[in-house]
Amino acid sequence: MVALKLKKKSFKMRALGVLIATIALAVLFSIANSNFLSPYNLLITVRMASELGIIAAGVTLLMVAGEFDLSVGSTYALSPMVTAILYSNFNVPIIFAVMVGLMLALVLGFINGFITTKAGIPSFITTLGTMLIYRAVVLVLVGGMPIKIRSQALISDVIGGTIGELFPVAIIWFLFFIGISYYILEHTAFGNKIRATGGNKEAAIAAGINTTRVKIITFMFVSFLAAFAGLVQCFRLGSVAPLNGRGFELQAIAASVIGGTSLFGGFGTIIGTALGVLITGMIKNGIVLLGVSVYWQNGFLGAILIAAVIINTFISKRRR
Amino acid sequence: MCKKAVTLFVVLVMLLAVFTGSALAYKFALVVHVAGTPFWIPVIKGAEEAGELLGVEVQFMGPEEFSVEREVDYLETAIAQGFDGIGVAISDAEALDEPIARAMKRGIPVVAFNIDDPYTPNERMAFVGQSFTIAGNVLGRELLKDEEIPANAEAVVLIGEPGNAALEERCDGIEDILDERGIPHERFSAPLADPSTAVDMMKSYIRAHPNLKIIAASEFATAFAGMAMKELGMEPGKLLLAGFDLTPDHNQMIKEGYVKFTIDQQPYLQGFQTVMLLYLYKEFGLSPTDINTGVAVVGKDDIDQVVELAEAGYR
Repeated sequence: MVALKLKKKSFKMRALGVLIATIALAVLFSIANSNFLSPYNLLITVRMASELGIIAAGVTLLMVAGEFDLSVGSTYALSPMVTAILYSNFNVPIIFAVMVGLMLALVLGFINGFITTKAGIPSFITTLGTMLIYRAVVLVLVGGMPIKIRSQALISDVIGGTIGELFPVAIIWFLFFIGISYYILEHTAFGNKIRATGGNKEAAIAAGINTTRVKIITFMFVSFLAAFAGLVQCFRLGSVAPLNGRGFELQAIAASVIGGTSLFGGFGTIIGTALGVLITGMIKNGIVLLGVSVYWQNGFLGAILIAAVIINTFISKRRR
Repeated sequence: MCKKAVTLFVVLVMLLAVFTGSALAYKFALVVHVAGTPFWIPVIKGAEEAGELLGVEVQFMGPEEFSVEREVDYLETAIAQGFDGIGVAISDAEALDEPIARAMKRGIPVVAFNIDDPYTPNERMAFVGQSFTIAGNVLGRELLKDEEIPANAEAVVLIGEPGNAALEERCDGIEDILDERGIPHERFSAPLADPSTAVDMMKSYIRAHPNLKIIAASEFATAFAGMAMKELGMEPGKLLLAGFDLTPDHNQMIKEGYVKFTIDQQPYLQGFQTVMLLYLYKEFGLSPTDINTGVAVVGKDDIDQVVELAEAGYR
């Protein structure tokens, strides 16, 4: 009965589909190995999804606005790397180092948005370029070596510590940014503008929406989230490796798409993305749990990705 | 349709239950930073054969591409899922400290293999593998031994994964010796996972550096340098080449004389001994101790025999 009511709104149906898939996977894994449901293992599973989840929340907003950001993985490495260098090599107070890292991210996002909108080229190309450039900057900065960042300061615990023995703060940040992104998309005028910009750009412009501004701001938001996720990771591990975050750009898009976000803009839900991210975390965890060769991991993700899109397409066709 | 889906689901669950049931005494995890290279084949074989001898299940895991953070994910997963012992390649001196300490605290013994963390605190119980700086030194000395090096000779040191601390240390070790001999050197990176690009890059590099005399690799990229020489029509021995590890391309280049030798860290032992140490600790409480798996120089004379063993998965 519940399902019937929801059928009216296909976006809810899509989110429901992902929810069912998430639960089915969880049931599957817990039957295969009872360890899956141990609180510690569940915590680790969600934690593994957290950093990607923070990024994917932003990536979903951007995809709803009709654009992609392939540079998130590089920003995820570059911003914390700058923070770590300032703190460890130049003795800049940690709080300023963090702020510089985050502000740098806003600049990186602005560059992505500015080039895409002003030059009128596809963001896929812009951010493919900046992905390579930002990564090159990381490698030039440190010559390939990881940089340590061990700080006793409160801020490092707040961003990337653990509560008590085991509970990683990363999970709280994941929920926090999912919440913020959900609120922006569903309950603000800016959210409507994002959806209009990605759904029908001409109509949006006719309605007086400054689509350029909307896109640039969204690009900056995504970069900010990518940098923040990078900081969470670097404070958790105590070091930044220059190759961190490689592949995150596609995983974030995959998680969004599994969650029902349209590749063509105008449509997507943050809840769906959060579930999509959890699925990727569960696959990572489940591969080890099942004792399957780890080489299968991306294969499973790929299969689920395709299945999700087929189901989504099927649902939206049936609706018409 | 719903019925079909449910049936399929049930069958899947049953299959999974069959596959994952295990009656072995212990379950050990071997966690690495990059699973997608042929290097681990003998490591896995060694670990599995030790497992068979001892009645232990061994599971090998790690990200396909080099990634410290993903390695941490695997390590944490292994801890959370209650493995009885963990072997780990410590690819970053900081990032793995905390999870390793956590494993030890939960009573899961941890032994480092392949890469260690000797300079900063780390709670792993022992290390099974090569000493990288020393291995680099050995390569440098062995390569220059009995060779006449022209006064204007230049050297290049190859590093396929910049940021991989083990490779960086080997480069440092090689460069120490080059510095001792006053040979100018620089670093260059050819992609290990993309041989055709790597060969092209090495060709351009060799052409652009007429005084180049020495190519030393911190991994097996010397194989690509050898192929580049061959494609450029250079005689074997015109440049001095040496690198690390046994891969089919590398072995072939040694046979043909383009690469003078390779240094084998005997990875079979790294898998075998890690499992052995973990087992002995679990079963009898014997403290794991460091095991040096050696610096085996393999040149043209030994290569045939070594290749035979490599094909069997032992080298």
